[in-house]
Amino acid sequence: MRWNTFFAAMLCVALSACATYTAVDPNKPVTIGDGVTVDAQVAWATTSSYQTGTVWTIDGLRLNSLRFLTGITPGNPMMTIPGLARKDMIPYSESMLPNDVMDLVTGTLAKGGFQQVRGDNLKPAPFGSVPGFRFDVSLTTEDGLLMKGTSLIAQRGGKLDVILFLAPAEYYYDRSLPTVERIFASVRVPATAAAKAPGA
Amino acid sequence: MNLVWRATAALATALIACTAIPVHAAGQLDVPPPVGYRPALNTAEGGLWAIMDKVEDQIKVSPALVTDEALNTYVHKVVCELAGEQCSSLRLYIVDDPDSNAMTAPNGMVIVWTGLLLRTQNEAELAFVLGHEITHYLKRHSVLNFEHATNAAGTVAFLSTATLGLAALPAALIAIGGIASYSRDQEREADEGGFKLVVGKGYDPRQGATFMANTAEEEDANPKRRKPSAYLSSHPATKERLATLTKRAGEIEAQTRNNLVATDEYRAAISPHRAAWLEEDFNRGDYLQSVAMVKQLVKAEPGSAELQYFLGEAYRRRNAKGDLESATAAYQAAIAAMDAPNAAYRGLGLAALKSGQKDVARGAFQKYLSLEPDAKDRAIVEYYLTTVGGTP
Repeated sequence: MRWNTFFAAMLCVALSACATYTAVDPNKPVTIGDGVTVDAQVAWATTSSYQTGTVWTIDGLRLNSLRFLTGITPGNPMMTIPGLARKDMIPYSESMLPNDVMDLVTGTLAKGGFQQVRGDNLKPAPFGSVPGFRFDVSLTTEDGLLMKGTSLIAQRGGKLDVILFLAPAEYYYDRSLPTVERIFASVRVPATAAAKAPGA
Repeated sequence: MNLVWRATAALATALIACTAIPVHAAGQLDVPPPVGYRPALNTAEGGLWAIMDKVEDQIKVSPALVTDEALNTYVHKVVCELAGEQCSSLRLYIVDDPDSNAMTAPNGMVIVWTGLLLRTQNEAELAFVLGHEITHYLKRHSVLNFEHATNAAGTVAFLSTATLGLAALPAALIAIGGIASYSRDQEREADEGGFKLVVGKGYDPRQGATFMANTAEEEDANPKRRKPSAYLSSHPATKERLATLTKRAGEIEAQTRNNLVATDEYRAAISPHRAAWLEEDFNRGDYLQSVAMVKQLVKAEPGSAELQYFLGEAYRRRNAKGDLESATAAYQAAIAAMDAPNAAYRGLGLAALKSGQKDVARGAFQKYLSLEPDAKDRAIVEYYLTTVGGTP
């Protein structure tokens, strides 16, 4: 059995319980990292670590999470997972097409302990002023809760930016999706950042 | 603390404080449990069954439980053919999990992972695995292990392993894993017992060794892997098992003409689910093993357009040196076969796009969109088309 994922999940719970949260001001632009700026729209709580990037939540990480993983360089995984070595993660490659990036995201979520992870509805979408793409995900948590998610992604200057929203399919996803859509639409990146068009 | 935890803690406390509790009711663990057997609740074995019953309750309501009637009926038929009169004591649960594994619990639960059904290539191979697991049940290995955990600390550790977070199916499966942590001698005994069950039903005695060889080959494909598969983790060295099974098959072959493999029946049972299981396997991101596994499936069924398509997908996702060429060849083989999945054209387009073969990519994407005009990913494929100078 997957003891590693069990312990990873336990560790995640422990870490999230101990993490320090600060309030996100909904009335000011928020610069996340690697030049990505968004408007929060509503009051979120935020925490961040070098392992999991910046994470926002309204009701708690198990009920909604908006994860910003920016500036991922080639050869590195999207995020690290407690209990899993880097060699066991899927690395990003600059040559990846949007389909490959969708596989990278879903595969990383599966390695994090989620089950029945599926990506769907892959389509081009602007990431601020640069071309990007987005797709939806569905998955089941270790304790059987059905979750839905949506993501906005860009490949800029050889690096990968991922914004990923996850919430339980029942109630929480639909409730916060309009807010998340407005956040996606508010993304701004520096004009100088060299963007790679999907498939280019 | 939930009720299960409270019950477990109470049971553990009782075991520590009251070592006079008989471990099992009948006192005969060297014979198979009688049909309809149920230990008295005031025995430790009865407590163990009670815990397993709780686990079973969780599995019954888990969203990961595969409820497809035809598939359950087919696998249940194989279980019952092997178990004979014990069939009525066994209850089958197929769980949607890409790991290759199967287990029996002391209370008669038989759990089969979809990852196993994806990998066994015929009924005889599946029968080998099920025969092995049924032998664990008939030999009452988990109850014997429980009996040996009679010192207080050992018992508490055993129960803790068996009841970690029973609210969740994966945790419930971990619980079964704790119960089904057998010694290597027990695994050897299960191999031999399973072998006899399989041979007794007329199955080809060589298929067990074939499954073992394929499992080992898949694992060897990933030198960075952290642990053996769930199915091999507690078992004797694979080479030893292979040698033993091959030797036993040779002995039996000389005495019998067993040749039941039942490949067609097996494929008919799993074919409605195989594509979804392959996707789930790929989504684990262990592409080294996925390529090896799909190559084995293609080797056994080279004319399958579906398998050629998924071989292409496995190569494309692994993306090692030479993989784009291998992916392209597999997609083309799929397209050349009858009943090619439309997605094979998309896969070919993606591989060609990454290889810089714009003409091939353009033609493949256009074909895909003509076959799948309402494809959910139409917008991104149209975008890919624009990058190679094409229009839908």
